[in-house]
Amino acid sequence: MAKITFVSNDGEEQVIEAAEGESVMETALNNGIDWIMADCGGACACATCHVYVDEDQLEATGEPSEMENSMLEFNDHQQSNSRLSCQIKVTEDLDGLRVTAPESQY
Amino acid sequence: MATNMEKLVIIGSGQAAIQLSASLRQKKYDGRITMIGEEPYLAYQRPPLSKAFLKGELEEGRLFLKPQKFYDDKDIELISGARVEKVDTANKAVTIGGGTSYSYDKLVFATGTRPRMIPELEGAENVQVMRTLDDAKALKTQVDKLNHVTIVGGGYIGLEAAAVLRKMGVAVDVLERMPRLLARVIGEEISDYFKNLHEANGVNIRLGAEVQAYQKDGNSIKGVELNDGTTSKTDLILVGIGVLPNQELAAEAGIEVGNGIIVDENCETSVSGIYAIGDNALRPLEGQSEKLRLESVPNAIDMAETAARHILGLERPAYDPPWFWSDQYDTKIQTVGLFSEHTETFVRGDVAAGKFSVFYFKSETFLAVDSVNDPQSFMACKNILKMGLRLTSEAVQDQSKTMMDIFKELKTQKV
Repeated sequence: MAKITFVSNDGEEQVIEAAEGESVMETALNNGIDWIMADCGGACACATCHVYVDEDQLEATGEPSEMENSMLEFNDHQQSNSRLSCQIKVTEDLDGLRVTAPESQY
Repeated sequence: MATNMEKLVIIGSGQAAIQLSASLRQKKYDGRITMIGEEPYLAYQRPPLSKAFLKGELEEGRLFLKPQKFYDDKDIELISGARVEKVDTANKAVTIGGGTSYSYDKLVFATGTRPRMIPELEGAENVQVMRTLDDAKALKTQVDKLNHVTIVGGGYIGLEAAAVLRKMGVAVDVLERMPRLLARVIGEEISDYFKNLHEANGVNIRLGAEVQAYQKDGNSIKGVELNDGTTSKTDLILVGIGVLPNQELAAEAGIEVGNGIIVDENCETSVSGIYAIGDNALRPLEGQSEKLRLESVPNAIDMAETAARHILGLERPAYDPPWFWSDQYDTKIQTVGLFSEHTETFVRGDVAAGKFSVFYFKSETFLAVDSVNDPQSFMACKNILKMGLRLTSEAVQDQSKTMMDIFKELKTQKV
């Protein structure tokens, strides 16, 4: 289990016990985080599950693929700590992870 | 009557239905929401059925779009395993099998589609389709025992299944009537690419193939004889020759139908207060002279959002050009726009390396792109179409620039 904090646009924080093996996107959907859309269901095809990862935790989430980077680079709200949450797999190492909603996700 | 007494009934419990329910609640709709679905499940994702689920990479529990708790928390009533038998628009009520009736103020058809069947194969025990979770489960449980599968139809469903079956070591024949694969949905260059990709993975692709006879043994199909005289033995037939819209209920209720339940730009049918969303609906689309029926998740989501807003008296959402994706082996194809009226095509990228895009133009108007392992072109074009930017064929042919460069230039020109 890993505790993940989801921070919405208006600053509201929700802490969720994420199950290992699922993606951060799935954790959000299964726990009523409604600012993560995930239109394509996690196929890395739509970029509607965009999150900002706290900078110091970025490394623990792994390297984004070329596909993921391309999906993100057209987003006006892309930052150096942008990730698609469907591409982050929950592991024990992610305990304490904090992800924040970009302006475009609400 | 107080607004919180409004009753909304949705016929269907798939992606469009749950998306509409979720969107309404997110926008503070305070009426009653009842979803009536034939399948015994919470709303689930269909795209992985022929991909990750069949392969065993995504278990059943992860297919569900929202957990039961979401339905409880958002006060969304789901009546599953129930078939609506009748819609009475005069008395504003729907009746399910067994006779229970539900009255409504607003009604939504999110009835989806059903696979077309080949009459001769109807009822045979080793014939499968791929539409529902039960279809996928049925195929999945048999895979270990199968040596050879014949897939009738070279469309997305058939090809995705072919890719998975090959990975599992099953011999696969794909029979396609047309002279190329995916003829209805993509251009020739991409058809050729997929033919090569599948052949490299050992799929026996038969184009221009007409079945002469299905050889039966009792209630089972044992072999397929083609018009060129060849016969192949098979263990299972997977039929993927397209779908039919579930519109009979609407038609019987006096609602206008064509190739789908006909709706306007707000997803409202010919009867006020009755909507149709998802792949059962025939809808107007920007730049298209004829209404179209689109079979995709993004279409279901877009129509659900559009209907939700109309129900709440809000403005229509911003234009979202139709888009689609498919995964086969390690290849991802992403497509945006509608290519059918194109007069010219331009290829960018490296076809041999399997990283390229085909751009479709109607004279000088950019219509659509098919991107193979090229998400940058897909995303650039999605934004270009969404923002109404004018992409020229000249710009597309200049391969010294990336699609990101081209997009940025167009964006600056507009400002």
